[in-house]
Amino acid sequence: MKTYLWLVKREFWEHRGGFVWAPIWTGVAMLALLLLGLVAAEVSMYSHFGHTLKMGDTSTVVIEHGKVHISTENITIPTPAGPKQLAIMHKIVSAGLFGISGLISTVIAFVLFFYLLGALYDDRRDRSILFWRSLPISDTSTVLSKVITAGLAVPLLVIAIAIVTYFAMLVLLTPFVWFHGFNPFSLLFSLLWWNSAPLQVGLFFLVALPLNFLWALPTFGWLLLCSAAVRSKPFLWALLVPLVAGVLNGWFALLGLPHVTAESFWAKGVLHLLGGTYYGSAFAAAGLPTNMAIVIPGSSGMTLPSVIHNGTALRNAILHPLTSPVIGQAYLMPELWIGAALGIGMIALAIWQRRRAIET
Amino acid sequence: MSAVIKASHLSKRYKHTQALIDASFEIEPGRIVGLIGPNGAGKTTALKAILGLTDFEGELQVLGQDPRQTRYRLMNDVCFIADVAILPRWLRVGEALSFVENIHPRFDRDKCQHFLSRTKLQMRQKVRELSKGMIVQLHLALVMAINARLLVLDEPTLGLDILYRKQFYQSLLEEYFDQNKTILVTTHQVEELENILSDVMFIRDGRIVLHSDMDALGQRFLEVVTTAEHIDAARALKPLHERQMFGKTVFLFDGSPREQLQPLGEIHRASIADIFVATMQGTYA
Repeated sequence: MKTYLWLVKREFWEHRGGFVWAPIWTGVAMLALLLLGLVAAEVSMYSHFGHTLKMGDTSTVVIEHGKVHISTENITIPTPAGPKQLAIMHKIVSAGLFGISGLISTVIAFVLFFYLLGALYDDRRDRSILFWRSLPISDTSTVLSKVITAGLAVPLLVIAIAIVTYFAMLVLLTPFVWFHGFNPFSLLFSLLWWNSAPLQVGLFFLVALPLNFLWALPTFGWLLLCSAAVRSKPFLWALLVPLVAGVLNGWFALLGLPHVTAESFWAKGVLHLLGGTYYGSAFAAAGLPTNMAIVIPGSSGMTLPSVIHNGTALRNAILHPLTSPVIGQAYLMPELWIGAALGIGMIALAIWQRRRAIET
Repeated sequence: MSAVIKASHLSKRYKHTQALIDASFEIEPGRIVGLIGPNGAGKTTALKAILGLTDFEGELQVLGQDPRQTRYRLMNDVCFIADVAILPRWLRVGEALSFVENIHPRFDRDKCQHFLSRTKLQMRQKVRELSKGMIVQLHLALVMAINARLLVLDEPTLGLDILYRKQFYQSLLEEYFDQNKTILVTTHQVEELENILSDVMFIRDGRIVLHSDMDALGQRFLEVVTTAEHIDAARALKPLHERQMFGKTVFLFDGSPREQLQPLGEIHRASIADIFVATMQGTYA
């Protein structure tokens, strides 16, 4: 146990930039963009109306031929902000957490992909493997520590960073909310404790962690196997082998030999094999919201363009992650278990390869 | 005490070369053994086999275990410096200490810090910022702080200047080595090891061609510096090797009795380097 803790620590020492700083800087960049956008909005609003909109003002937003027209006629910003307005704000900021975690997940997906490709390769190339193997650590522990890092430690850290970024976003919004006549403290208080959106969405990610772990196993196994086995260029091997297999599969189809459909080969097989480092690829496969899809829990169908919307079941999954049947149903996908079994097999092969790593 | 390493009929074949051929040897505890051979003779392969880093044919027991089966358990008792500069470049000095401290049951952190306090190494420094000599200092400090039974060194001082080399072996002798430890070392710098080794093994083309302790070696190999009138008599005794030095001829004899050589000239104990050169004649031909 202690050994694994230090092995995972070692991975973080080596990849501090990718695991810690990349998600943090992504969060900071998003906050900076948000700030720029808010300032731009305030300035353009001021130049449009000659004053800022306060609660009690009426305004309407019309989007016409790609241009935004704002007039102060149809919509009233009510005063004071009641539970309904707070609920709307709550939905918007929950969507914010999904957005934040989606972008950070995208960044970390690339980080993890290349981390796994190098995990059992880089130290062979620079020969520092001789140092690691001079310590009483089994090859199994070494390889499993990389799986734990990619499947458990990094996702947990990323969820934490996403939640912190989210709180920072709330703090950033406070003066703007105040500027427009809301009481920022009652708003923040209600967001945190009344509806507890960030904790809710955070909990949803946590509950979904084992699902994502199982879903990602074939990707972990395949990348580690490439990393442990090839003499050079693990990246090319990782991509070329599925590509060649796909071409062969297509050729089999042409000849009328047994094959799988192109759709299931690429969209199911290859995506599952290579896409698992994206936290949320399991949701997509199960028809659950992916991190990229912005879903606003509790809303009655209030969606943004990129939403994968799955009605009540989905909302319940996010609102009540512990009792919702949706995540449970995702465990019934056969490809989850087939993939996990293949993944474990490939991890075992990677361990076997690692054992004979210094043959030449 | 039983042997630390017991090898019988070790063979290892790579695709194009036979790296080890039927090598058999035993190493007793409390010895410092030099494994010496030309490039490509199989030194590194032999060490790899002992460390469980390669597969091979034959029987091998290291501290009573088969390294192929139990490499990582064996590493509790065996330490290993492979070559200079194999510490990972991203590792900080302090991280290396913490890692080994928590992974290795026999690591003594205070001891390691004591060794490091005599160097210029800083805890925050990364290996990539260190010179070759400093990397070896770090590695040596880590290894000397581990109370292991067998230390394997493969060309540990390659590419270091003479100050680092001297300091390396001096630290090992004075602060690490004792009767319960065994050191197995390969090197090309034979001269520097001469006074440290208790045993030598010569390896040539995958075979152990000589295995002797230093005292026996001194008695067996004698060097005679002769003047011109004794040359023919000396050649008649079938010397292993002859060379010219300051107008005199130096003969190296293997196993000829001292009394027989006495009349031919001045007798010296032969250096390992000379014995090595004589034994390995024609290796690269």
